[in-house]
Amino acid sequence: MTTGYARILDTLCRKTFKDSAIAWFITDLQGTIRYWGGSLSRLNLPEPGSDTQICDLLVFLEGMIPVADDELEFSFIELPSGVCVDACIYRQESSLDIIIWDSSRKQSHLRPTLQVVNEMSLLIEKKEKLLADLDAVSVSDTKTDMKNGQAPPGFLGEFFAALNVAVLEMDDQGRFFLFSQPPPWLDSLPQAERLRSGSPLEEDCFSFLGNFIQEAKTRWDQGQKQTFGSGLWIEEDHRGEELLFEASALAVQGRRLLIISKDACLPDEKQAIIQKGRDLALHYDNERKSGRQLRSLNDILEIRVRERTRELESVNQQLSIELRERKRAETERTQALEQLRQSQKMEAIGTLAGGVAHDFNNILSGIIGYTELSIVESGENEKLDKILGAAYRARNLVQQILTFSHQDAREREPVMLSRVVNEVVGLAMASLPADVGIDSDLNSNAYILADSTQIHQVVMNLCTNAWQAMAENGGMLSVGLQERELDEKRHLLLTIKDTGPGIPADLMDRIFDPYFTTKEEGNGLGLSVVQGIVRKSDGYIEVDTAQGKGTEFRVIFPVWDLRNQSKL
Amino acid sequence: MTKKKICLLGAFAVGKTSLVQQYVNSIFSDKYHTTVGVKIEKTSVDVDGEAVDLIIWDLHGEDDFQHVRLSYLKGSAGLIFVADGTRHSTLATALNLRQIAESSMGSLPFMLLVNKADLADQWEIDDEVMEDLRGQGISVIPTSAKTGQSVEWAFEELARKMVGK
Ligand SMILES: Nc1nc2c(ncn2[C@@H]2O[C@H](COP(=O)(O)OP(=O)(O)OP(=O)(O)O)[C@@H](O)[C@H]2O)c(=O)[nH]1
Ligand SMILES: [Mg+2]
Repeated sequence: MTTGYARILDTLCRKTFKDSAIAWFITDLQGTIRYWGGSLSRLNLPEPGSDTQICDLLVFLEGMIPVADDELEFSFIELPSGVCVDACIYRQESSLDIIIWDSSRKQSHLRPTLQVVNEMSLLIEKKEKLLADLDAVSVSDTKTDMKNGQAPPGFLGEFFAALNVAVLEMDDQGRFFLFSQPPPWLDSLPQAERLRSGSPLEEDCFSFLGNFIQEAKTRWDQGQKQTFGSGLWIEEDHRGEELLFEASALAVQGRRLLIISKDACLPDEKQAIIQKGRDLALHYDNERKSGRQLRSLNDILEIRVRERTRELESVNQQLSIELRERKRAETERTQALEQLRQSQKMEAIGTLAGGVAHDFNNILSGIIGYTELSIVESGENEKLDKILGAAYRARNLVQQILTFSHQDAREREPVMLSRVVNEVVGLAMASLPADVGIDSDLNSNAYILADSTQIHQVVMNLCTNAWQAMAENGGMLSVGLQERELDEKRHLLLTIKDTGPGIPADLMDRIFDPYFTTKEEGNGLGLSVVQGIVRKSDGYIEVDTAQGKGTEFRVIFPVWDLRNQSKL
Repeated sequence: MTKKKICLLGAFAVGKTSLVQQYVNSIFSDKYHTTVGVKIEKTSVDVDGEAVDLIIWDLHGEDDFQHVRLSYLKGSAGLIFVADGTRHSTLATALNLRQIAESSMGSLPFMLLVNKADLADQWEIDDEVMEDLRGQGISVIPTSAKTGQSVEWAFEELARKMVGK
């Protein structure tokens, strides 16, 4: 019986399953192998000897023999040899019939599925929190769950935070509230406090966004989904600092969002950020769409979000540093340009004035010469005297122009400033109107290196301006001279102060411009000539003016030391 | 020579395969290769001078998709239940499996390993719970298949119980 049974099995294996890795064994109830057959070698099993125990060959049977049940089945048993088998064991009256066959192929089909299932389950378990977050964001219906002003969880929250933007969401009444976590610069936005408190704001609170919000609403009403930008605008915050803003409007997952970014970037830089954002968003979207897959890829997504977030943060930081630097450089450049333009203008005027003055001088020489000649020839002549007087005044003016344009070649010499000031004050006393008082307080007899005539002109000019400022209402002209230590060097400080109406603020930065004057009869060269002379004497001028209180000019010269002859 | 069959049971991914590989081959991998069916390993251990062959059945993890076939437990001399210390739910699975095993196999020597002890900062099963179980006469051993912590000791302790020493 047993042998006949064995023969059937043998035939089956050789003929029917000839290409399969299958083997059979017949053992006694204790597991000693009596008959066997099939492709042992293909199952990586050695051939048994005459009294080999089945457990030595099929180690998984250890402990099971003697088998109690009529029938036992196993699938996917990976043996220590690495072979994976399915097995069936039948208990007969006096024998055990065992069939095993290779199940590696079956296993290789099943394994990937199981692997994914288990990994998914693991992720579901582990990432429950993250999933909840993601679902909250991905299902638009759940938006009512999120209170106003509450930061969006998970992906979007991190994303916006990384971009350093303020995100406002429009509610059904067309009002806006803060959707994202407030960015650090939120306070520079108008209405920041109310935004932060989470209360929805009417659209007109964002007047700074102009028509942009109107346009956004129209587009949203039309169901347009494209994002569009506002262009840049500059807003002054409460500290008066100018900030650059840019807004974008977009509709995402049923939410209508305004994204406001500070320190808008250059197109290239923006491209980089948008690119990163898009990659991230695409990634996120795919994940969301593929539902079940989301769960298995969740882990990766989370890591990527973090990576990208970190990347974005650093890019953003870098950008604002660069931007700040660029802005500063830009400001400096503008200032330098302005100065350059100013000095070029002055130079041009100077050259022009100088050229004209020289020609003029020649013409004047002719006029003066011929007038003097005519006076000699024709004797006293009132009219010729007047011509001569006018010609002299004209020559003086030309001289001033030449001084201003630095085209005269006067020698500098040590000048006792107090002496010059005294002379001028003496002259002024004689010509001042009665309601203008004069007070002179000269405390130094130090020398400066200058052209004494020109210095005379400077003091005279400043004093004349001062008393002219008080001509209408009277007042007090104070002239002072003191020594000052500046940069460890002796200086002379000449102050000329009036109690007139003061210089209007809008004129202050033009008073030293050539041809600038407020006086009808003035020729405008006054203060610019004064400044030219002072500068040539290594000095400088400061002005203080107060509306209704008066003006003070301070002229500072370095003291020329008598012992220091080398400077001459 | 004495041969003994041991089965490892527990939720998926608790580290059953990792524990066996650490014990038998002294290797550990961070990669998760889920077990399909059963993976059988053979090793021998010296229990107080007596050599014991251990036939270790590393069963696939228990979950909604795959249930442990009770027939696989046949012939076992001892059982190892494994939980993952970083996943609280795996302890319930392990305890549940223990009850099922006991009802079909009767009482066998067994151990409860709470694995991944190296991830202490993510631990979700607190000492109190483990102390509680010990109070019920269960050998609860925190292990790490990664560092090898208590792995050899746990297998040998079970072997000792199985041979009745
Ligand atoms: N840190 C750490 N990780 C471990 C430890 N044990 C296992 N792992 C990891 O946990 C994951 C699952 O380990 P496996 O040994 O495959 O778990 P299993 O219980 O055999 O899983 P199934 O066969 O699917 O039931 C793998 O990624 C292992 O690297 C441990 O002690 N510490
Ligand atoms: Mg495994």
